[in-house]
Amino acid sequence: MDSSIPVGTKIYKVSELNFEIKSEIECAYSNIWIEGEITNFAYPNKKHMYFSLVDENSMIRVAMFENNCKNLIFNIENGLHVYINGYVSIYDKRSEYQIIAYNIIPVKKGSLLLAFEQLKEKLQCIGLFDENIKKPVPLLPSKIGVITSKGGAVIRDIIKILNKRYGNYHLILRNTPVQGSEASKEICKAIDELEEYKADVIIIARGGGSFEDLAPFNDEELAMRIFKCNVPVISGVGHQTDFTICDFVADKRAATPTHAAELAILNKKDETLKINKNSEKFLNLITQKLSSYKRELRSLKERKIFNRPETILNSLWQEYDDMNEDLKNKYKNLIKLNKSKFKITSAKASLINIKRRISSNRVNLNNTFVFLKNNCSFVFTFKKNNLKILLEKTSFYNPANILKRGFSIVKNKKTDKIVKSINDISIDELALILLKDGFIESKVMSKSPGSINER
Amino acid sequence: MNIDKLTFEEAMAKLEEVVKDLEDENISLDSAMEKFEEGVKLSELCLKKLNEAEKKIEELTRTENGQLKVSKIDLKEDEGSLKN
Repeated sequence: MDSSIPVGTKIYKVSELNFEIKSEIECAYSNIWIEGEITNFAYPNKKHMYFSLVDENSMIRVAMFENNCKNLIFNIENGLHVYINGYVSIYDKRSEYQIIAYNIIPVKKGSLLLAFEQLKEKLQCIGLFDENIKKPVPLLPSKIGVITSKGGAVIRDIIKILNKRYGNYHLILRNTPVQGSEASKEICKAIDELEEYKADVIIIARGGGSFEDLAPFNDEELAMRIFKCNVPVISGVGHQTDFTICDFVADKRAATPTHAAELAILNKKDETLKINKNSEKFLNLITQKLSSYKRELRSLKERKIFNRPETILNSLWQEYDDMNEDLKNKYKNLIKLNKSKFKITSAKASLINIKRRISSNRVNLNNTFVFLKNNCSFVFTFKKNNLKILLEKTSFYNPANILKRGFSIVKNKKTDKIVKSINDISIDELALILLKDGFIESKVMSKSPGSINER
Repeated sequence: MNIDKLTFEEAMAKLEEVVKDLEDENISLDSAMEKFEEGVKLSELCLKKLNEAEKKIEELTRTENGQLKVSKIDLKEDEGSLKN
């Protein structure tokens, strides 16, 4: 092999060659698109991204520098199938060629959707959507904060619903843009202010729009702000089919702004009806209760003890009389018994003994009598007032009292019976007329039948 | 119990409770009367709470010196949907 280099041959220095190739390549592949799958992803200090892009057979290194990284709205991760826009360059130190990326877009779905899904998953993982941390929305808020655009139809729709449901509500509008790059920051500020102003509930609302239009409501910062808000938040963004991060993190998700207004305050008519129904219910219950007590009271009143106390007293008297009679009989029997015993044992028995027995029996009798008397006096005390009335009545009918009032009693002197009829006495028989202060003896001269009323 | 301090929700819940208590057949007359009075007070309170507020539509802004300010605004319902 020839050991000399032909004269005039160009000899490169390493860096010179690398520089030349780099210039050539960078010129030839200055703005290309390349498709592949991301592996070996690294993002040290969140400054520059480094990863490999692969297909079935081959692999190429990719670097993306800070300025461009900042513009990515979704997260780069291993396994992601992407299109990369950039240029091919040489990393001189290792003579390694690589792609310097300007932009990356996902192959299967739009960047916004991917970003949305990634953020949703992340926030879900840290528990921002947990049902058990959601604050209850008050039924009757005294201040309803609304965050939306003052110029839009949404605020008017909300007012319409509130007018229909409640009427005397207090609404505080915080005007914000609901679209564009500043919207989510403004909404965060609006939450701060409504929280400071002590709203009882906050509605964040916006009408329908494209996924791009709704982007401010898929903002991580806004999600965190809603999560930290002390006031319950109702999200009513877009149409029924639209879902935003704002919806997931809010304490209540409304399908539309109109629905949000319905969730924000109770329906006065329904609630009034409920109150009246309950009032009616307990009124009926107490009325029932009272009338059942009334019935009970009436049946008590109808009982003899309250109605005709004298009948009870009479039966007690009768009982007392019976007992007295019984006592008398017992006493007689006892004496009889003692007498017969005395006959049998007359030889042995002494008078003292008999006397003692009799007196002991008397003591027994006395005790029984006192017992009875006490029982009766108990009854007397028990029905003292009724007794008084009774006594008054009795005194009214007492014959002595009747005489005092001018009446007199006529007795047949012979039979000593009261003359109640003209047949109780004959002509020429003597009659005793009893008056209040004595009596008059008189003779029947004649009799004529007839009623006192006929005179 | 201080009835006046209840929120609307609490008062409504208490009202339901009163009805339930009164439905109990074994309740004494005294406590039934007590419950009844409580019920009357509660339903009055609920109705009062429903009607005491005054309709206000205001806009919240922050002034240059950082103070919050509310001012009345005149926002009519959407003209189109109003006609019904």
